[in-house]
Amino acid sequence: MPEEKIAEKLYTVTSSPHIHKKINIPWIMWMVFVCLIPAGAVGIYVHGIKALWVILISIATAMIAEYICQRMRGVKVTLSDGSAAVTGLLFAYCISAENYWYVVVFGSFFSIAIAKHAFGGLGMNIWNPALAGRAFVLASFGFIMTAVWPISSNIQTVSGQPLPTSGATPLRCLKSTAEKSVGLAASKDASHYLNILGENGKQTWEKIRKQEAASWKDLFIGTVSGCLGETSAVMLLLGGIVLIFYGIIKWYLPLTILLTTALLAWILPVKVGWYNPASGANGIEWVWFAGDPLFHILAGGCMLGAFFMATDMVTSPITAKGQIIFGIGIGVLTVIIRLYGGYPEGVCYSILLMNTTVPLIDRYTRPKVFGGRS
Amino acid sequence: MAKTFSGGIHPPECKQQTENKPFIHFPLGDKLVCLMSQHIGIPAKPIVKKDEKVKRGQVIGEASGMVSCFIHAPTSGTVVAVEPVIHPLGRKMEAVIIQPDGEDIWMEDFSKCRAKAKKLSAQEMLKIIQDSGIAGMGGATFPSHVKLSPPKDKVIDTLIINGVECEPYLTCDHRLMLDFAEEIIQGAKIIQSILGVKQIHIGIEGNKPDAFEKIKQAASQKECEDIHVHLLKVKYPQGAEKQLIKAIINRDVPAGGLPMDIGVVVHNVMTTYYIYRAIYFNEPVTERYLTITGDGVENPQNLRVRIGTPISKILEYAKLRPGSKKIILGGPMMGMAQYSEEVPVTKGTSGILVLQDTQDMDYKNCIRCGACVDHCPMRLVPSELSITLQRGRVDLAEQYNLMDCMECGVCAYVCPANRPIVQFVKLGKAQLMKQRKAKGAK
Repeated sequence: MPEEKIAEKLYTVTSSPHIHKKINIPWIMWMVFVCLIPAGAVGIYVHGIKALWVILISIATAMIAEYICQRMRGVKVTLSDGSAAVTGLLFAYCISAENYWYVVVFGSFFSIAIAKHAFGGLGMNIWNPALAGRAFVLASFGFIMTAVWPISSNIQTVSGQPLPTSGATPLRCLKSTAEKSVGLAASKDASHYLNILGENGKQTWEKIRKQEAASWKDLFIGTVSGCLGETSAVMLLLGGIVLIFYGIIKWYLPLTILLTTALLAWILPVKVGWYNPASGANGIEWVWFAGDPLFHILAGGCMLGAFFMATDMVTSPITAKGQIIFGIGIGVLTVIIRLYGGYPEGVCYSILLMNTTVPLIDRYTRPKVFGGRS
Repeated sequence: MAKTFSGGIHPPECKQQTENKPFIHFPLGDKLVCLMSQHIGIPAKPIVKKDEKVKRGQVIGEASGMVSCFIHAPTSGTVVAVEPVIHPLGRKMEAVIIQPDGEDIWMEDFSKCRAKAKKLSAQEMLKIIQDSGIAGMGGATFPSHVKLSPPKDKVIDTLIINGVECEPYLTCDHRLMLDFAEEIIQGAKIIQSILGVKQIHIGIEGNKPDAFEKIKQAASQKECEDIHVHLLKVKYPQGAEKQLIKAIINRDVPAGGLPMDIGVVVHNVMTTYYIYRAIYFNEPVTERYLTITGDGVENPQNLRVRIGTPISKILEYAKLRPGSKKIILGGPMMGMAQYSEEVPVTKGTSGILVLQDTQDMDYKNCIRCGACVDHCPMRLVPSELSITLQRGRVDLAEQYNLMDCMECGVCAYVCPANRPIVQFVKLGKAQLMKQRKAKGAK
């Protein structure tokens, strides 16, 4: 049968539905970008204009890398969807503002080219690209990533408390002093260190906390040492709340992370040394229920991680149940790394580790279909 | 709080163009195309020949088997052809084409049947419904007599009348409830007596308070104590059987099962109305009510249209705007886009929606945002389905409950990556059926 003319005038045929919600990926990405700006502004204020350069170099590198990779892969170049810009910005936020330009370029390029495009581009990556970039530079350029975290000398802290002269982050101060106390208590003449050592473990820990922990106020506003964009808890919280309001991230994921971190940081024991000058006795003790939960969620990358890193859609579980498991996992790992691990900060690695478990979590949290079997 | 189900969306309703417009009787025209397949199941067999004279209500297509429907001549006139024409499903299918004589003479006089209506037995009523060719007129077009004769082992205790009309744009069920509230209640009572159920629930969405009042008033008369009318939260897809049952009586239809498995039968208001017409007037389905709307027509209306009227005539009447891109039979969420305006109105045509714009067809990788999972009324993981089906892994998709998807379109509606999830699912289902068939044949 010859192909006959089917109709006079042809209309467009597509599958249903024929209407679509006014939402798309660029809107989501640029919203995240905008919500990150306040925290970066505080970072620039605290660390000085060099922070802005780090941000700009990182974003520019990320976008160039995105362009190169997409051209190489022969797919449509989608710089305007904002996903590369967000990755670049996030990468800048989780490294030191005092940085060499090539470290920024390496890390940012790694984020996009390896962590994202080597896996198939947006939506296919296993790890959060920015954090993968951070882990890469931390392994490759350890000296710059762990040695100095200076902040502008002319910045006054909100609480009036002086900044640590070493430029160490609040988490590092606390951790290293606690470790020091263990060594001191065992030393021959511990009486010289009565400014650190107390008569028992609890007293020592109190002393260390009083001396070394930054005030809640400073941590909240962001006038502490730390990575470029992670210090200002209030600005990150603000951005996070806006994202929750627009439904871009779910409230329960950051909340689970923060609650788990706070609870475990309070409960789990820290190892400190003590010395009793009267009796001359000394020892090492594990102090339980002595952590400061608020300090732990305000300090370091916890806020940035909870609201902007862990909530990355691509690398987090898809169901509510899965996200809660994921959040608890991040909280547990963060506290374990912070208290007992080799690094003072554990948010980055805990998120990366939990990213790895996402396919598994998704598999075991698949919702039960309406009316029956799972 | 108003009753509802979990999941779902609330797209812009777009009903204001037509919700206040009473039905207009659409003129007969010069050609009616009666498809032999206007229902789910086996197509009817044409039993008239070219040049044969027919009268309105005369059987022109005979049901073949149980899950099939009779097709009646929508008016009196001459059969000009029995040939395949374009079906709303896209391919050509057998149809009887009638040239109306303008007299519109009925096969028999229906006015006198009314008296004995109440004395009919359930079997007799079922026979009348079957002979009247009634199929689910909400759009699913499942033969009504099949739904009304459940297997002996299924105990039916509840009848739900669906007046939800959750699809955006459509208003014909709304108008029907306003115009024929009492008839719908009578129809519900007929179904009640056929099935022998105790309680009747009628569900109407909160955006039709006037219809709710009308139905409630009609149901407040004597002998209507078992009828409960519910005003439901406005949410799509509340008109889907499983979701409606969940919303009203909080029962879960088992996955892969039917409402009758949990003792429920659901009928649409328009089907109920035609059941009333069939029992009281012995009148077969020769026309239906529908909405013509969308930004592609200047004159959106609610119409009473003969079955078989070509869409082109209705578009002409509603003043089709030049440059309109899409013609959809049904609502915007589940309706079928048509390439030709020559397709005729069938028993399932609840609306004709004309849109000026086509959507962006470009789609991206899934970014796993989870919006589809949050909104899926069947609690599936549509993102996973779309990814596995995109890779052709029908076997995996089957494990992910592909067959439980009802293609409501919620996932594709909310997808920020604009993924055509429903299309993947439809294709996947077809491939799966093919595979199963091949396996069965071995």
